Amino acid sequence: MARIALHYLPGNSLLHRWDGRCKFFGLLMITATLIQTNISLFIFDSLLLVALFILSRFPIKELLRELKFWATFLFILFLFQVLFTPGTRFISSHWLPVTKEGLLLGGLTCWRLGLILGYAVLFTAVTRPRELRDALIWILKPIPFLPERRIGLMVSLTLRFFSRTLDQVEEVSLANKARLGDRKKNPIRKAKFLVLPILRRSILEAEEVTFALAARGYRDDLSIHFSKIPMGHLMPLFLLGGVLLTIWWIQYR
Amino acid sequence: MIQIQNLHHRYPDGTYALRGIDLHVSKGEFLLICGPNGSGKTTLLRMMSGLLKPSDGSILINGFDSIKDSLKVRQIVGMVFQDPDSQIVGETVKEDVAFGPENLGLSLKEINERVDLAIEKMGLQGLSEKPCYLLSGGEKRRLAIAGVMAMKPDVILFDEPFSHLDYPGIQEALKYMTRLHQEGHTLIVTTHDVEKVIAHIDRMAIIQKGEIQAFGHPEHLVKELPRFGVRPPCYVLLGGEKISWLE
Repeated sequence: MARIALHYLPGNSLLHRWDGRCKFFGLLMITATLIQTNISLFIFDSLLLVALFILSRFPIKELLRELKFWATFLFILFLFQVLFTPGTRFISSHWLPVTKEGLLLGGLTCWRLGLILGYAVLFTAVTRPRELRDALIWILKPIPFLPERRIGLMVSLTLRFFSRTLDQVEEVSLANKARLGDRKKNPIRKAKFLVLPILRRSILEAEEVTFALAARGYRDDLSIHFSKIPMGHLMPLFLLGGVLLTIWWIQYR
Repeated sequence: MIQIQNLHHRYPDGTYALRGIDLHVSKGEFLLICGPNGSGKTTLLRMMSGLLKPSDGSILINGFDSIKDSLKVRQIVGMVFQDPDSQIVGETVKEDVAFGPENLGLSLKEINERVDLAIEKMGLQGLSEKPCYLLSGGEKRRLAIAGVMAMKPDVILFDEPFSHLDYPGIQEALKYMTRLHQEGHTLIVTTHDVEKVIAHIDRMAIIQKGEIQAFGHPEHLVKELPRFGVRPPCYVLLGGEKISWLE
């Protein structure tokens, strides 16, 4: 295993043991705060993320090494926002095509995306795909006419495929590099020799999984028994909800 | 030719893949690195080809450091991946074989000559315009070798070259490997299945839990294989002469 981002990492931390349904609701609450532009909530989310990473005993140093691509992507996004957002230029350096509004917008966008990525990495690291599937089925079950088992399976497979595709990108990139593919700088040529093989492999793998599911007698009409969520698992959710509401109330009262 | 000193590697999750590997491979040698699954064979090969950076230690290929002179090392060392589908990037056989020579910045004439020669040597003449995804397992393996050969490397690394191949496929792969060895290439093969290649190698190294447990002439080591989780060849189990899979 060379890559750790967006993979489940087995462990016995409190986060690993936390009920999957509670984890999912916790993630939904955090996601709700990330679609706003409230700085206090962003600061809270960031501190919470760091604390949760420590709590989950996640190898943060190794993760940071893997995030070069995302860091580059966020930096390019930041530059675009800074350079192309209309607004007031700085008086001291008027020659710079940078506006105060652009700087603020770029910073907030990158902060938000960084937090989304961070929570996605943390959630997938401490949640088994099966737990996620069961959580989805549990949530969707009360809604009539929805094939909750099929939706749950599709979401967990999508998550797995996303991670597998990233692994394939790494593997094909290495094979490309072994034949000096990194020497040519033409982006179209690079994309052709990287994207097409990965796309083809992904389609073939999806087909294989379909056959494998059918061969192993997959049925989505079987019932699943869900245990009751223990009160101890619900407490952190109430606490999180309470803190988020308090911050929001202080900000907007 | 290849000098590996005190090589260590640790995965991001903290698992040690390699611990203190020391190895010397001479020019023109055919070396087998065998060991059970997860023993560190693939990681070691990827480091030799300059694709992975070790946590500690060094690898010198013809005097070039695998990290500092990674580009030069990748010109000297070609690697055939375990899964040919990872390696095949072209739409057709010819386009895929040309991928490496194009990256070397050669002239079109030189590229075409190398591609034709590699295709001919690997017995893919009739398939040069065939889409790669329609090839059989054996043909894909031959194409992967052709893609590497077209770059004319001195050293060729084979990662589990016999996996997913049927009997004729194994014979084909082995035939081309022995031919490459006869032509003077240095070959390093990793496998847990020593049976198929034992009759053709010069030396072997047994790797387990990221450490070289034994290194030397195959005749001296084959009886030791079960101790390290590797099945010995049939001729050792049943008694008798060494048999080549090409016979």
